[in-house]
Amino acid sequence: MTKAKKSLVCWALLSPFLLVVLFPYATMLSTSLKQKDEIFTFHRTWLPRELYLGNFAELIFEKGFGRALANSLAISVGATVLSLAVAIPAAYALTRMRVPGKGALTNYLLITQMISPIVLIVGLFRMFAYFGLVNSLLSVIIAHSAFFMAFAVWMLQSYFATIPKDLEEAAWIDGAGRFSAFIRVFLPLCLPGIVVTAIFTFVNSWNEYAMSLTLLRQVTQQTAPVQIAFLTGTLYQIEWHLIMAATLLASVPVAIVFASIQRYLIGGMALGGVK
Amino acid sequence: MPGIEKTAPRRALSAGRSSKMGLPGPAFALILIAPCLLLSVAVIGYPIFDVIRMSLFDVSRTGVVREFSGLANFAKAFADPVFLQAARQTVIWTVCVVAGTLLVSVPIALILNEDFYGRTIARTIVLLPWAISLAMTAVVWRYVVNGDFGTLNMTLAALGLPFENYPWLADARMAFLIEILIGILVSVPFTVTILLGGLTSIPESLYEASAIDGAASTRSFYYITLPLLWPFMQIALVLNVIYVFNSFPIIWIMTNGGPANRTDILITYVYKQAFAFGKLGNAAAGSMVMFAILLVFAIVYLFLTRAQGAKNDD
Amino acid sequence: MASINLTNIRKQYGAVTIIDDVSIAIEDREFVVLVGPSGCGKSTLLRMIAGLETISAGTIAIDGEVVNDIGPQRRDLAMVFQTYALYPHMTTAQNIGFPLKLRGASQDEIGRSVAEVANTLHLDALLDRQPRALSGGQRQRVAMGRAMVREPRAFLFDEPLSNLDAKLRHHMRIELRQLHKSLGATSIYVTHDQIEAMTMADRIVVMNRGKVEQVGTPLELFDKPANVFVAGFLGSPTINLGNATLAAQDGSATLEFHAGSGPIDLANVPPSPHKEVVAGVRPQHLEVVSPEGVKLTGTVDLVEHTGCETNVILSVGSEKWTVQSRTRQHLTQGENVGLVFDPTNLHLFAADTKERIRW
Repeated sequence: MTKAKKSLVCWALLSPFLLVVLFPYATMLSTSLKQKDEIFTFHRTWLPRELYLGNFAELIFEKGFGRALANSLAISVGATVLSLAVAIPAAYALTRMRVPGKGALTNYLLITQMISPIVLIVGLFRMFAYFGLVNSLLSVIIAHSAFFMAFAVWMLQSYFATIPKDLEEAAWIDGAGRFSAFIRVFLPLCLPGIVVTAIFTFVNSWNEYAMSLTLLRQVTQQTAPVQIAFLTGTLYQIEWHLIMAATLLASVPVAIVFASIQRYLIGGMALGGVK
Repeated sequence: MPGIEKTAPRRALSAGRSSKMGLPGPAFALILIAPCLLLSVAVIGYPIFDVIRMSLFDVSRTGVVREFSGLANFAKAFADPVFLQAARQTVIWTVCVVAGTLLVSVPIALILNEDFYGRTIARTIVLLPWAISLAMTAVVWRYVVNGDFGTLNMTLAALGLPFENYPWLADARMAFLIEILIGILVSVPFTVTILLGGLTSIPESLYEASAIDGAASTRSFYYITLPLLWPFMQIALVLNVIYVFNSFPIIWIMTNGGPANRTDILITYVYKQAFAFGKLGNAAAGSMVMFAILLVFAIVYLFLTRAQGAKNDD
Repeated sequence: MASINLTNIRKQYGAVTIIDDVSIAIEDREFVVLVGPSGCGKSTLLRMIAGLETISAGTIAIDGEVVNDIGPQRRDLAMVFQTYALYPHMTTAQNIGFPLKLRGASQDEIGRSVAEVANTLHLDALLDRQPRALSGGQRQRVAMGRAMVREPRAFLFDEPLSNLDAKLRHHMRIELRQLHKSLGATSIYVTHDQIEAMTMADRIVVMNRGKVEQVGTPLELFDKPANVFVAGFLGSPTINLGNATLAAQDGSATLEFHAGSGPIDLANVPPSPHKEVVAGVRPQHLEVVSPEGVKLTGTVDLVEHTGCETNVILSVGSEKWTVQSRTRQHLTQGENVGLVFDPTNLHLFAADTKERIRW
């Protein structure tokens, strides 16, 4: 079988699944470019009447979706920074030093990764309420960091382990202190790994729903996914054209960023998972 | 393994000297780990404790913990027909989504491991659902299958099929089925990623050797691919069970457990008990049941990965 | 430059002893090679000197100053790693200049020193390249340059040539040796390759299972190995060793190999005759002769021609022996031959302690 022929077969076999994956995107794109009357009509078509961008403008300027995006951005950036700030030293210690109780610690982190925040949501809510942090973006930043950090530690660990220890030792012998060797030699080398981990954490935080829904109870603080879901709960007539525009805005940039790191996930993730 | 435990204290002793030498000892390592551990224990550990406490005490609607009530909350939960129904539906939900995911993912991973034109694009598209918030996926699909305005009926009608105004989510069975299908769709990317990682770790030389030995490609699939992929499938299976069991947004947003609790699973049941009905004790008891089940899965996972790790060390 | 003294050094991981009571005195400007089979502790010992491994007991002193508690940063040693450990994100010039930069040298100073070192090592044209764009030999040179640039108290080498191909290894051996002559730097060099040890060292330290087996100049070790291990480790092809019985009476002595030989007359008698011995003859000291009237005989298994030497592998009883000869041997497989040697070239070791019997 030639490669061309094989390609045809492969694409044909994949096409049903690809169709299902792309169907919602087509829906988002098509609907978000339509005007309201085009949706609530009997004779509907895939192609919008014209390339109407008014939905996006209305969403941002009238419905306050811009603020939801800003909230999401603030939370995701905050959670990424916080979880990396605690995960990098931890991952460094776990890969490079003798840590008493290392096995127990790794198992603990692994188990925390498997507990859904929603199982603990009642306790989580009460704790943040006790500190007066409900309805503060900070609570979600902290909660996201705690839940996504274990994964970050684990991803970073597998990257750190690929940097030969020799290099730091050479730096020490060359006269660098432990910190200086870390900054000048170790960090520049594992930067790609840190970037991938950061992006992954960012995307996870951006997409998280349940904790944001529960901890932020005012409309002005809603994150993008929460606000989108909230808009579908309107009693009267659901404004699908606006909602689809919102999902498009909130998902496409993230999807592009995510796609950029996908090749790092394959292999890295499986290896880490098995080892 | 036992040997390492035996030697550990002495190791720590000799490493203790090193702190003077500029090679930081275990104390410094613990300082580096402390923030991570602290954050985790505070935000995950404390709520666990709190939920355990609430499950064993009488808790008021406003969350005041009153007197110890033993297993009364659990008894109440198990006496609640909705809880039992949700539990039953959780099993259906988890089994169907996980089985469906593996069934779809294995062939997709095998295809994506082949060398063909546009493979990178195909991989990217397959992984796409992973990049998007489950909440937003649920919202979009809720619109897609909307009876009156949805794009699914629009497309089916355009193809001449009689689905002009079919209300997909009105019937509980159909709604649950759709939710299961979407559950499969969003679980495939992660599963394919793990399986692809497994497939790329199989050295090409094995296939070449078996080809030289005269094995046909179907035979090399059974004797090489499948056995080597099996550990990855096990891990994908257990992780998926955990994730799917925990999955909240799809059902919450598409049907909110309805109609008539017929699509509720434990996690939506717990959430409703806590935040809609204010039955915190009930919710905590439900959470504990889920927590116990998750712990069992987590231990199975640890067992699987350790066994695998040990094999890799040989 | 500096002298380095190791006194009663020990290294333990729990119950496992990696280094067992090692004492070595390395003089200023000396080139010492630590050699031994893999796992003998030679690399660990080197890393302890560098400050990369902790010491369980004993002292390491550089120029009389005990450095046990001083970190690798402040020991002022340089090390060339087996993997070269070049910083992948830095160019050749940056790699070589890194130790100076850490010491706060000015850009001018760094530039001058780097240029000088690069000139010595013929790296001038490669200064702007990153390690991944260099060949194995070039990387090796950059690693050397980084070690040389700051004139350390001593050089430590951890199997620096083992990643090079045979030809380049030979070339670098000579270059390193010349470099040592011109710099006169105290050097400790770890290798598992006995040829490197023999050709480069002022003194060799043979290690086995965490202990020092023998210390001495290459020829001392070759001519008078202190025990069976050293005899077997140095020399290529490997020395022929056989269990034998030593009989001494009335000022004359005979040796009878268990593998099968008549009593061989020895020129002089060991002072304290051990009855049971391990006897060793290097392949170079054996000669193949016609079997008639010879006490030690064997059957030819294989003849190897390397061009200038011929190796004859024979069965002596149940043992395999090798004879190396400068003349071409025309022997056929299965042929019965006699073996003779000059008794002054015979090495005798006590069968129980495996220690050399001096005579």
